[in-house]
Amino acid sequence: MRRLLVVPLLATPVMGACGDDAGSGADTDGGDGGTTTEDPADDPGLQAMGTPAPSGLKKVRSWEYRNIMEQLFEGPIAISRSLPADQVRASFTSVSAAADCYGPTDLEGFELITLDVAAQAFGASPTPLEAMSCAPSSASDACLRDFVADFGLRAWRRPMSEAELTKYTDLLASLSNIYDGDPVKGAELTVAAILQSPFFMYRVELGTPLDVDPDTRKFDGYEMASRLAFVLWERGPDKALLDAAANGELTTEASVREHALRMLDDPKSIDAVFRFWREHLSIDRLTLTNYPRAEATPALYAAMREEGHHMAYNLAMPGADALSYLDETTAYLQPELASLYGMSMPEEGEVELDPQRAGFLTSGVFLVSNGHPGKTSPTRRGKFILERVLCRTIPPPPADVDLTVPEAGPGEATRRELVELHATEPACSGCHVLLDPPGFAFENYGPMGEFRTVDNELPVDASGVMDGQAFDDATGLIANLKTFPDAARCVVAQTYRSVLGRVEEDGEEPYIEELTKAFLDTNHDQRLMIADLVASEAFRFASVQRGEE
Amino acid sequence: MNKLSRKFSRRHLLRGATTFGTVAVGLPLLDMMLNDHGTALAAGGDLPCRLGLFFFGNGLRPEHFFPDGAIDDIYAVGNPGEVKAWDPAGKEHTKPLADRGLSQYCSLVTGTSVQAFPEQAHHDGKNAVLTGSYEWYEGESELGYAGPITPSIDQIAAQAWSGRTPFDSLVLGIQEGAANNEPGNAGHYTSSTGPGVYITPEYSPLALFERLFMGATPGASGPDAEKLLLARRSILDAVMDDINALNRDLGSKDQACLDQHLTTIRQLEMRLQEGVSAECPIPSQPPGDFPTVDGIQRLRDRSESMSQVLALALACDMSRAFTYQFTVFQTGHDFSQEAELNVESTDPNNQVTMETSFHEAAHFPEFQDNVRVVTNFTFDNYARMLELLEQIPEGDGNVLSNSLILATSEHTEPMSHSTQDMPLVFAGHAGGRMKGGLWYHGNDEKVSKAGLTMLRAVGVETERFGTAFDNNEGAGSDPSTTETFTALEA
Repeated sequence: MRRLLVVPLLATPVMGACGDDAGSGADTDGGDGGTTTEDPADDPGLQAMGTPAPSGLKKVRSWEYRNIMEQLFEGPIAISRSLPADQVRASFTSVSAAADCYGPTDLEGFELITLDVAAQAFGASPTPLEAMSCAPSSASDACLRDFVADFGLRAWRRPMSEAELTKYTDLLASLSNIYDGDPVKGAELTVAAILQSPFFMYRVELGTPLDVDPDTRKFDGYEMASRLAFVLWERGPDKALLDAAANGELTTEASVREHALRMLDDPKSIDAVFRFWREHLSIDRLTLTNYPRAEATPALYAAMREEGHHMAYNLAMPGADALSYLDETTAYLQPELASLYGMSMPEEGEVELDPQRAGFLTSGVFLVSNGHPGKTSPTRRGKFILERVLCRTIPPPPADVDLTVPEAGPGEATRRELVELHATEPACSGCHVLLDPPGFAFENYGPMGEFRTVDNELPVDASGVMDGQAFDDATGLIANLKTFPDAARCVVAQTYRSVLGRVEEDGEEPYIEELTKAFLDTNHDQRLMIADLVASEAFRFASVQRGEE
Repeated sequence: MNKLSRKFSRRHLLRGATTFGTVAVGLPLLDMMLNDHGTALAAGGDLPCRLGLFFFGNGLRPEHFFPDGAIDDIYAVGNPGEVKAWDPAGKEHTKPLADRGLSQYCSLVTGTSVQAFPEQAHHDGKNAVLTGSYEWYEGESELGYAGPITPSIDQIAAQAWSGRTPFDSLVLGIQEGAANNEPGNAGHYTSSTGPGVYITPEYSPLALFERLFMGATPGASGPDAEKLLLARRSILDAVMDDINALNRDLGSKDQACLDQHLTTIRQLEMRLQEGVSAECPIPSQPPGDFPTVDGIQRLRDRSESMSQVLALALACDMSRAFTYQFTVFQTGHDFSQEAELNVESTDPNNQVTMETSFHEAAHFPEFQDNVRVVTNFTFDNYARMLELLEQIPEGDGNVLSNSLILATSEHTEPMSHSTQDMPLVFAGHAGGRMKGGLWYHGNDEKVSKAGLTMLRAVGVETERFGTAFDNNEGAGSDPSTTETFTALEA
């Protein structure tokens, strides 16, 4: 069902493997990456009006970890224990990866995982040593040092320093001694050690203060290679990126953009954009555990998620209009879900929706997961639209207020009328005046997302006014939303948060404004916007280090 | 470095209270370390005191918790400063403590408040009681970076005692997950090292068991195991070296993460070196899997297993500071599938009818009877955990009498999310430093006094618990304290 991109064949620079210069001579402090055609020492500092985000460590997410293992060992690797659960902050796993620490159990688990991974790699054919034509007779064989340098470069995403290389080569020798001088066993365990090092476990992209402006840090070529690879491909840098860094590239906007475009032309980039939409719209959260509902079945929720995934996948394709998530009129439905939507389908497939539905906001995922069991929640639906579609901020309800919406007997009042009654209380009205109009627009959809014109035996009123624009029902509101300037800006802001792994502060707003202009000019082409973003100062520079402010 | 130094030449066996099935377990190791009078460690030093937190999310029903005649609206009423005898049997929520014979160990404190920001429901109460401080945000953003600014009670003790036991602390969880409506959300756990840094709980009794008892050589023995052990230690040394090298130029937040990383690796390396787990009697292993119903976890069985492993860990002196996060802050757990609570349970007075998130439903008046049932269940799990500690003799008391444990939540009443009269139930005599069986009603005192009371009672000397907030305008609030609940102290 998934279409694949046609990948252009790339001219890959030729580079020696074992014994290459990339493994020596560089320092660990994020130097300029060797011989260079670009001279970062001459960098004049920031040219734009923004203040870039602080830099800091990031955890490696579970799918990145798996991808990297296959990348490092060029084949399938089974991960023997569960990897730490990827958590979410501000909608995104990347924000949590930057904000949260590995826990003790996570770290002890990684220790055992690396031993197992290394054993698998050295039990395969060829072993990582054989792949480098290294058949050591003892731990002092010179090719072992080259092996450590090569593996260290690929695992740590930068060359090891001379001191590090010596340390790990010595470690290899002492590990060999434990195993009666077996250098291959020493190499295997050294691989585990390199994978346990914090230089592997964290994305260490800290930047180096500029001579002309010590308050600004610039990411060097290797750091940029790592950033591009993680953000666009969800893994470590490939050979082309490491070669580019070794050649002193990836330190200018043009060079970064060139690599970003190359990477976005590769199918590996689909996963990252696909994941963005799944996280941005919280599609995978719709499970029975999270949203237990008497009317729900595992199959129905799976069908709802599949509808969301299909939409997210289409949005991840080149040339997609990112704002079409609001009003796309085709959807991928399974019969059970189609039936809930009042349609009849013999088998699953892509269909044109009924006129009362358009886009994500009329889909099961949105309507169920922003509701209560057995009743709709105009407040939650409104909150999602304000926060997630428009990136506006709603304060949390004050403590010590009664959040209870009154109940009504049959035919006495609609849900809308009950919420309106509650919202007249002074402590509540300030937020409800913002939340309710977009929330009420969806009253034509019941708690499970079914279309309805009657609520509690009374006719539904889904009309309202938002930002001065009137609408009759949800599809009217959706058409209005698509024209709001902050709807486009919000996709850009959320992309920025996902890519940078943080929620922007005031100094970063100008970057988002600038990206939004281009985004509007390209019919909301998110991939081009991502290329702009990673090439911009916002991604190539940092202000200070996180926690230094 | 404070090395682990205890070695034991023989194994004492006890047909015991805390086994999985009928397997014999070793006599609690501490008894072997005691002097002839059972009053101190033979090697010198007082008996160890443990400090524990038992956290449950989203409060309770005040009318089923505060003693009779002492409740006005949702708040407890008493004479400020008054101390009375407390009988947990008087109210449904605390009755399990009496039913399991623990009344003499337990004390109740009312008449406290958060005395911090009354703005953020859930957050202020949790931070005040667990850390004596307030929410920390990185920079100006209020999205995504929240956490307490200072460490939680258990982690202050863990840092003070670092290196004395194989694990500085044990951070355990029963309900997997995070704050309500944000499944998978990071943070808002119970135990934190601050600023903004949480410790993810261990949810698996089996994984905890393996870390405690099997950690040195998982699934291997003989010469190969010895070699592997040596190799792992060499690797960990190299890793620690890298952590130290990296930590030299980082900001404070990243340093906190790497400090946690280094501590974990250092303790792992020490355990591999000392082989401590081999000295502790190894019980049969707990189940690795707790079946869900329609994808919904059941907490009772997991809590039973976790409590048993915890009891042995404390008896073996493998750690002295722990957190037992029964349910998470703002819990969205669905209790309806719990065997003893579901609508098919035999007791009609003990059924959970809401098939949804506890936090979500607890906002509504019609579900308050469910809140009653759920909280009774929570306290019974608390009581069961305490009972297991009480059943292990130690010196002239038992493991519970040589501990001090606090059960608390982030607010009192879930419809209003009130942080007046925060739930505070202490258990254990802290080796004789705490009385028991008392109800102290404070004079609108800071809830953070609970934390300082605990730390002082277990011998962690600290002048202040928590920190004051001072915003840019000079105004602020001060949830921190330098005082304790002296009425409870022996």
